[in-house]
Amino acid sequence: MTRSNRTIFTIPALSCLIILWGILTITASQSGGQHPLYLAGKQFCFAVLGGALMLAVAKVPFEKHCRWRNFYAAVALLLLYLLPLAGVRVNGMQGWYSLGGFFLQPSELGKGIWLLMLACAGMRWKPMTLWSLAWIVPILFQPDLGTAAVYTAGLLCLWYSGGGKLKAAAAVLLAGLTAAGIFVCTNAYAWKRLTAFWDPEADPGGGGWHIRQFQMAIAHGGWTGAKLKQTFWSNEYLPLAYNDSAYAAMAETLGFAGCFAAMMMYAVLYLFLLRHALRQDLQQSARLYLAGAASLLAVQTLLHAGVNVGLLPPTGLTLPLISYGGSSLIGTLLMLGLAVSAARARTG
Amino acid sequence: MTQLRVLFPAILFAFWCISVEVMHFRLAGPRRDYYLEAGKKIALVQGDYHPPRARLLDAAGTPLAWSERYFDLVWQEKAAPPAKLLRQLGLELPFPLEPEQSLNGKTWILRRDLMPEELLQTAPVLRTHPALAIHSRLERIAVNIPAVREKIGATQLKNGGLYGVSGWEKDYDTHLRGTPGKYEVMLDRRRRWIDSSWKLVSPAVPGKDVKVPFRVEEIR
Repeated sequence: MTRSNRTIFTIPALSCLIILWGILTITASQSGGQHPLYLAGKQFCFAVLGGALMLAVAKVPFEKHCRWRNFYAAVALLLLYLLPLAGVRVNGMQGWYSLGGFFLQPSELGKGIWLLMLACAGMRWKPMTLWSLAWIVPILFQPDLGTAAVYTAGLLCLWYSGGGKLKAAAAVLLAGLTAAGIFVCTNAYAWKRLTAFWDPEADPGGGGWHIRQFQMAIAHGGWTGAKLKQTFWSNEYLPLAYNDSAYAAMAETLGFAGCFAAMMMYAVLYLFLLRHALRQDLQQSARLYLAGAASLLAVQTLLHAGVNVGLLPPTGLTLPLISYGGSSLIGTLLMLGLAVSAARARTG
Repeated sequence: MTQLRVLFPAILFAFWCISVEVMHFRLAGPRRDYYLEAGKKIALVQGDYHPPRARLLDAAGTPLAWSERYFDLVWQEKAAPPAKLLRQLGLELPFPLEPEQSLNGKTWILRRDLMPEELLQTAPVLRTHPALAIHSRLERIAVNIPAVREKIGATQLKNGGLYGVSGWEKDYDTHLRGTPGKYEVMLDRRRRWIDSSWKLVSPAVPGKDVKVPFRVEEIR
């Protein structure tokens, strides 16, 4: 098997394995309900659709994607900027379009396109900053701080990995932290959540509720997880168990062992992308894209898991490939499809 | 792009990943019991369940008074259930509904005296409609002879159990009532029981039938 064929096989195969883990988690988190397979079935359909799109995107040469990038970006940004006019508000966030029962979240779908824009900008700080601001500012206004943090961290990793100046990365980091600090200090709700994070037991029924449910779900799962119909916390108490609390739900269903295995699968996928990013025979933009995709995947996974185990204050973030949601799953698969295409973009 | 530049974020991610796993390890292992106990405080409740009150028999062994338990499907709101909901329930449940306001005026009884198979058919509907519940009621039935009923006396429902308040029901109360059992069950966010979480803590000891030293014909 050639290296190119191995890439085409390994990334989708690993993605499939993680998606199966997710479907199991979603099924367990709904096992006490009337239709335990409803969301899992929908997720399976999203996976089939996303998988087909991923393979289609992977088949197209990376140079062509780079040539069409402005068209992709125009569509993605149009969807993002029309949200205040035509979007719907879900959980206090105006980040979705409602299309006959299906909710489309442009910020999740557009991650791969944003990375493509940055990678093709060729490590020039001006276009990279402008494109990033064009994406992050409307996301901040939704307001979706979690996704904005993922984009910012992805930008920093890409900038640093690509050989950008450390001072510039530090400046972005400082600006981001200052903005986050000002937001938390001026927003009563955010302040309450932050104080509850420091001491969840001080207000167990209010600000600390979410964190306590994470802890109890993970504790209930123990080492090997609870039986399928005994996942009480995921079914009854954990807010959005199949989505923003997917790691805790997975911990209750599959235990420490199951979560460890999932993290190992993410690690293998991350290292696989990174290995290709270091290949000297690939085009510079393709290598940058691969490094960015690896970073974005790692940042989102670790932020989500960090929130769920209590290392970070609660914020709404999906666990890539595992959390329920068409936009998140298809968006991640599209990003990985572009990564497969990039891994085949040799120089000359 | 140099190897060192790519490796630095990778090392940060590895460190973060190890921190996540250490925190998870702590919650799943050393601190597990603490959080399980905290979880029980939120979701686990203990309750008493009363065994059916035993029978009062005459000297020849003819039942004079006995208990029967019934189950009703109840809409737990003062206002009548909306017509749309009734139509939807009509589609979901395989038996007809006959809404009537309860005597205390605080709830609506949608169907009286559910059969065991109807109870099972109702369980999924209760999860999707928070105002619906199954209420059980114990009824004490006595023979329809006024002189005998007077001797038997009356019972009163207290905390789910029937207690004798007059006549033989009061005299033999301890024998008839038995000892209530204890159970524990997990509650969901709306404080309703979670299916399959019910556990018996101590079994109920049923009351013993009491034979009174008279025959029905003698009392009559």
